[in-house]
Amino acid sequence: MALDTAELTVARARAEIDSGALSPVELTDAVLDRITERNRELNAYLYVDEEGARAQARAAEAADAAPELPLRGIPICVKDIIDVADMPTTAGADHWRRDPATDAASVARLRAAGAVIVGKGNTNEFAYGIDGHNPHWGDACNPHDPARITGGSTSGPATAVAGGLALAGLGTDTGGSLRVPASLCGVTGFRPTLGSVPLDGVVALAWSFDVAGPIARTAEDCGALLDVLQGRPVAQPDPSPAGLRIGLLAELLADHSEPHVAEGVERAAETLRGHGAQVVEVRPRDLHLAPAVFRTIQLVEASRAHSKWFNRQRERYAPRVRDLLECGRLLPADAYVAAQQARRLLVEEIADTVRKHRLDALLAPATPVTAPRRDAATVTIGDREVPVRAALLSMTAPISLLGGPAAAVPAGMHDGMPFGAQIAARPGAEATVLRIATALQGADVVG
Amino acid sequence: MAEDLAERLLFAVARELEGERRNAVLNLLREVLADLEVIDRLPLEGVEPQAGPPQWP
Repeated sequence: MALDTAELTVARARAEIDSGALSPVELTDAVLDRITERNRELNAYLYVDEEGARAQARAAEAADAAPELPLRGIPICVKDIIDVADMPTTAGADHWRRDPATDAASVARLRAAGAVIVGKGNTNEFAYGIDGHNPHWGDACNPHDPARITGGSTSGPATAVAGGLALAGLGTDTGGSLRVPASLCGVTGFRPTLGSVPLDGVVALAWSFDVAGPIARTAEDCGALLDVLQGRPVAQPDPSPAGLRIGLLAELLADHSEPHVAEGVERAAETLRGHGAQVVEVRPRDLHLAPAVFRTIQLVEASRAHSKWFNRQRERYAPRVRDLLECGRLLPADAYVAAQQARRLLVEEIADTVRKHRLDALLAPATPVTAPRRDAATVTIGDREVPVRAALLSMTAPISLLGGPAAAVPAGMHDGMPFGAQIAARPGAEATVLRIATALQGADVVG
Repeated sequence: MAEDLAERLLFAVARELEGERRNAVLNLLREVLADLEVIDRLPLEGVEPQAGPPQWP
């Protein structure tokens, strides 16, 4: 029977490779076959290195390959703003390219752990977008319904994982670029603590928020990649969330999410209670101001990151990205500093809420909606029409301000489309996030 | 901050851009100015700007 790479997890593949039931070459061949079958429709990859992937798989299979390597033979899709040696980095643009001779530090860590780097995944141009649209190379399409968006900007790796075109992906997250596509594609995305994964060889978007992190089918798989990316094992998560206190961000549910998403996240909270966790509703003051603070900082930093290239070739940027960069370069230092002051206030306020309620983590939706159609400009939330981009950022950008780890895990299906719950914790508390995410994934919360 | 800024920014856009791009950037700037008004209303006096990864108290 043909290997179904759309169902296979990293943990299962590793176990089968260890037992000899599956070889790295067989697995890579199955993934490459899947890419041949589906990439034309899904557009997950912008570049595939078949020959290189097979060579890496053969090396992983060789008798002298270290069997203890944690990602031995695991095929991975890397977002195309991250350098991979001997593959072009286009950042999803058609007017910008570099041809790195060396891997980004994060890719080097994955490769050293035995991973097979298959190719470069689609992305919003320069990762500057949350919807997955790419006017230069075409959008990645949602494997659950190709007429719908994947979310972005880590659109290609999310699509690849959800569609079986990779077992895991490496992406980046600024305001939600791992968590939003994970939610809309029904997989798990993990934003590590700010600064905990090296960003050498990654095209910058906004230094205050940029992180690199994994996207995979399960929280356990994300944990395996996270260990490697952070260069140290995350404490093995306790399989049960019993005893944890979790704050449900009530404001993000009732007023700002579609009812089926709010119900899904409340169901997740109930599941955690059933496992012995205490879940309490919290409403940090001024949380609703977070997207404004996030946007101001991102606009200025992104414009600075692009200043050298933008002045020479502004006509060649995608219109939306160009407008954002034009806008950012006009904002004065005063506005930027005010936004960074406001960020500190918000962080202190949320940290205060966490302390007052003795919380270990926060729970919220990862997106307020399921994936909109690719041609939609707005979504309806309650009785309001909200621009797609603002809606998609509304749950994750506030969490990006905090600097701690956050994961999006599948929390339900509505009309055949998935949506996720988001778990966040204080900086360095990756194990807590994984513990809760693992409990939700193990408990069949997907209705 | 926002009122004074609005005037300067809208003038800069009108001077530097034209056509469809000018309208798009103007619309975006109006949204950003609304963001800045919101930020301006916060009690920021004496608050040190965040620099680098937040350390939770």
